[in-house]
Amino acid sequence: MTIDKEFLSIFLDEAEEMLGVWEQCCLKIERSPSINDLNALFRSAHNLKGSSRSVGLEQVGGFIHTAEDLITRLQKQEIKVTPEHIAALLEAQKCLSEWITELRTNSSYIHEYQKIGAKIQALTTLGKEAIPQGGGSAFGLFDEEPQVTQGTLQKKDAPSPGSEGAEGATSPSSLSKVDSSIRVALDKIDQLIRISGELVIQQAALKRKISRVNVDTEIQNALGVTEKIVHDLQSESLSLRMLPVGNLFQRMERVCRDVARLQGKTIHVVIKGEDVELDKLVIERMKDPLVHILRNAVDHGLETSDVRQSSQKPLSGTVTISARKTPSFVTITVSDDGRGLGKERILKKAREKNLISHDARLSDAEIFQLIFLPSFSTAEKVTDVSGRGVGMDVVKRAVEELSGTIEIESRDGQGSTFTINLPSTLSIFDAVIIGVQDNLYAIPIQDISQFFNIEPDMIQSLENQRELVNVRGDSIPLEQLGDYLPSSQSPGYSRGTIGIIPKGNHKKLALRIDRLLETQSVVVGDLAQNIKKVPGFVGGTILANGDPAMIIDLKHVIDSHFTKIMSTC
Amino acid sequence: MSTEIHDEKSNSSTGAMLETTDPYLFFNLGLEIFGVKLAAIREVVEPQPFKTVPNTIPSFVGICNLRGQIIGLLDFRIHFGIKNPNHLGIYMIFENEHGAFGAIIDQIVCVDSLKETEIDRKNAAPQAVIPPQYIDGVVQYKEQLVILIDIKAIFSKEELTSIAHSKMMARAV
Repeated sequence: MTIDKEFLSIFLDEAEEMLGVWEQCCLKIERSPSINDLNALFRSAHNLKGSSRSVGLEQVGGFIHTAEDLITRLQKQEIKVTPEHIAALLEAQKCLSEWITELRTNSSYIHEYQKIGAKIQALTTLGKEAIPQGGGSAFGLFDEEPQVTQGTLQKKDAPSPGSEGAEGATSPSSLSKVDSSIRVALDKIDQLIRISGELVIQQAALKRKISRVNVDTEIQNALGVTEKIVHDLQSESLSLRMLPVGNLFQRMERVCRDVARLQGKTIHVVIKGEDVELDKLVIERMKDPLVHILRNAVDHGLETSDVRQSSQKPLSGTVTISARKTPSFVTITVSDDGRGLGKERILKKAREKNLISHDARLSDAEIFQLIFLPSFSTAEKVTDVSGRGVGMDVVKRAVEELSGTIEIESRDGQGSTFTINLPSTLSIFDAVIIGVQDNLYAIPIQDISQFFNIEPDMIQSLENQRELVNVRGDSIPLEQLGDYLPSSQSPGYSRGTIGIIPKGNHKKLALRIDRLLETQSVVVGDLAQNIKKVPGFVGGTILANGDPAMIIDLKHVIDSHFTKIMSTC
Repeated sequence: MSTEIHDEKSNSSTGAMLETTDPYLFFNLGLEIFGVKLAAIREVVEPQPFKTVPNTIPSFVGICNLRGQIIGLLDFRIHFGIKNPNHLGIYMIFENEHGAFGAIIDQIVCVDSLKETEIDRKNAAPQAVIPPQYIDGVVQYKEQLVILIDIKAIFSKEELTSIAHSKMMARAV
């Protein structure tokens, strides 16, 4: 059967949302079973089944029907809710998620669902035999006559169990949010952001021009008001790309619980700051790194309960995922109260692998940074949970690609904390405007660790025109930034007297620049594809005076420098 | 693009009375006249102040701010080695799925419609100032042989990066 592409895509969007609700309900039920969540779970499954059949995805519908059978029996309290049931329903959700993802590119795709389908069926019929006449109360929480006990269970809109007709008519709080929003293509939002950015630039140009002539205060006031509105418009349109991290965190909680369940560890997941917003792209790019950190935390970090008992810790391990907004960053922290990273183990491994010399003295922070090196893996044996061929270096790279930073704190026996600082949006950031030769460039402020004036007595000359500069007792190679940025139009350069040191790399390098102008917030402009490929830049922007300028990628400059040094050695 | 040409050809081969005509923009590079399909051009603007971009080829003169949009500028006069440009020229702005781009030319000659049957799609230009992969066709126009340039091919294929004199070598190694 052929499916209309447009309908399919609407269905797939909707399905993702429904599966989100499905997952959320399962996680809530796992924490503490409630009839409300079971009802919401049933509704999401039922609606999904209906809409999948309406677009002709019979297999999807059939599979959901199987799951729905189980949910119905749980809902009617014919079977007691056990962790096993939740695990199976979560597995079904995962299967459907993968299925949905694949359908986006291949509309006739059929996922491998028979195994989990059979498992759910077995659980459904098993319950039937165990409790023949639907009466047992699950977890001792569900009363047989829920109508009478509304006070204790806080049922707001729960239909009486078993009344099939009630589904869909009432909506749980998580679904009611959907009604007050519309789905907009990201392209349209980006276009709006671009136009409002243009407006800000034109506004600034207009203001500059008007300041040169004499105008009465009325015009000046009007201009001031317009300026404010234009800035509001820009920040509002930028906020359209922003999404709360709650959804991402929910997925992460799922990851923790899946791993814990697999390893028979009891776990308590604490989530804070779900309302903090991040750019949609940042959220997408952070998914895999966070999964990796959390798998490690639960797999290697948290001990089993008997180990925890003997070290007088609470039996269940706690993993905390939190987000916090600071003026320039969003900070995501992941912490666990497990055994810690084991400094000695890291050092031993690093020495074995010749990553550090045997007499190297490293600070704690430096030791923990070692795990971000490629091919570093401390897990003594590769487990099927964490050992999946992805190293922590991938995590670090993903964070750095977003212009973020990652730091680790860890205490043996007490646990570890990963702190990730991310820019809340990618389209606007604070930049330093610098001059090299007769050109101006922007550098993201978070890429620079310090500025200094280069005094002649700080310089130490080496052979083949290399130089070292002494900055607060550190001898750092000094290079001319202009050497990395030659342009055919402006050959020849002066030796700048201002030095900058890029941030975030343990390999240090200082760069000479000619002028340091100002800091300003900069909107990243769209560049044609072949300009984007030019090395050394992360993008282009338009400065407050209306001039276009390229945004320098300092990380690339450092990499080029050290690659070059290595190859000439 | 290719399907479009195919359609036009099939129209004429079936002997239909309606011949396809397309408007072309003719312009000067030095003394020679060239043409581009008018539909490919977003606008033609006066010279704008521009800023150079390091690590690029000499004919890529830099970027300019066109009403808030950053536009890269390729000087066709330098790029195709026509002559050393001695005046600012005129900017033709193109836009496609790879972004917007400007080409600097000497001056606009005119806009005129060409019949598909007038255009020689097979023969490359004999004097070949323009590399063959960027030639859309050749047409006899007002007693001159005019090369029609495939602008899309230039802006999607042409490499702008040049790192010959730069220390920015890591990516290239």
